[in-house]
Amino acid sequence: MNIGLLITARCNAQCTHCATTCGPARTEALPQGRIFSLMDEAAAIRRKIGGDEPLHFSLSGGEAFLDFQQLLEIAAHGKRLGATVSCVTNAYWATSDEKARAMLTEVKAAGLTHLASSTSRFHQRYVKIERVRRALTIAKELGLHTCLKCAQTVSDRKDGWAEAFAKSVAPDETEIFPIVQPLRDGGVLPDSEFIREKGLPKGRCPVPVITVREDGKAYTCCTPGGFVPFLELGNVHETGLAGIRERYYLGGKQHILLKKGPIHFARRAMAQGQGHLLRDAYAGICDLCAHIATDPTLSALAEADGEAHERRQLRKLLNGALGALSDS
Amino acid sequence: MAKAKKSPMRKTRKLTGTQVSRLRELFKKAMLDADFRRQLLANPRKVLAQYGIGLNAAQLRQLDKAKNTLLKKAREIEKSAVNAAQKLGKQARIIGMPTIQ
Repeated sequence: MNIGLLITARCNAQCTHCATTCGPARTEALPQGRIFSLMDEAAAIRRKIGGDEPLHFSLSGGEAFLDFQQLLEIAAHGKRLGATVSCVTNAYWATSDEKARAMLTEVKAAGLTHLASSTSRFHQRYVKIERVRRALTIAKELGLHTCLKCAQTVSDRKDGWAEAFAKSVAPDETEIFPIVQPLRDGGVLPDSEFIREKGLPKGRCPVPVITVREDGKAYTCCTPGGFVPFLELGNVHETGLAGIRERYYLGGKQHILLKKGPIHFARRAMAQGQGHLLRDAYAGICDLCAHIATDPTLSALAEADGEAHERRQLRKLLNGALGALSDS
Repeated sequence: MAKAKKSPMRKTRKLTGTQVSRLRELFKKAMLDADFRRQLLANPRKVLAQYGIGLNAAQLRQLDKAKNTLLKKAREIEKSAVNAAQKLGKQARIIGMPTIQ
């Protein structure tokens, strides 16, 4: 079981492509007590379902290293629960080899198992790329599993800096992905800078994870375009994680995204004469999903599809258990 | 050998006529009302009890079993989505690093 926790909206950077509009002025954060209780709930659910499913907590923000003491405590709590813990950072803190080594040694000892560092042309206005190199190189030396995450525009792809940088850093994993809409509030990027390919991207949801944001809202997605009402599962301040998790598994839209992918909704829209609302090119599965989720007509059609699935599920549940609805 | 008699106390999963008509009424409401449908899917025991459809232990066990089957199938679908993503080279995402740009 993998739970994403966006623990804070506060960030030292204000990247143009940040869909969650994080920045230095943001103060929203998941209270530490609630972070711990969510982790406890996740561990209890895993015990209840049994099996060999690993428990993983994915920390991100905002910038999780801004409150380093809290990061240590969360990593330690994950370790106590027998979980692996990852953290995504922009590596602003890796100002020298000594400092980076000291911080990474401490956070690894606390319980962090994976470190991902993000960079892009927008990040580099705030954080020098050498800090990303330093953080990942030292993290790898210390035995943390490392991942480089590069968000790309068309211009970036042309000059190939991300691939060259990844090759020189040699992290355990590299993820180079296209920047997608939406951008930060007021953020502008020419349409020609979005990497897109013609046609509808096939494939199921590639990131099945429950993500809890700093305001407590939980989503069935962890990509920037996914934090929209269409993919919302509820709020952890009102519903326990077990309830959120059941919505994730029993929700009609979620089921379709996991089983068939957003192309199912796109094809249904085309069949209902709304194909003109789709773009002729997308950056990938997540871009298509985000577009459907944010277009009023496309999302309404997809909602209807999801609801039809939920009706079938309910019939199966009641009929399977009580056998009383066969002719209703 | 004589056939063992069924205990008169043994609970049956068969619903009474009143239960069936209440259940059908509730089902119709759930077909029309998305929030109610989700509540019923999430917590069928509670919602059925609120609607006066008191179930016996055997019926409750059947209800739990049916719900667990739905959840199990959904988990299998999730697992196959993860496997499909891994084949596409999304390992970094699968190990749990949200793609926050």
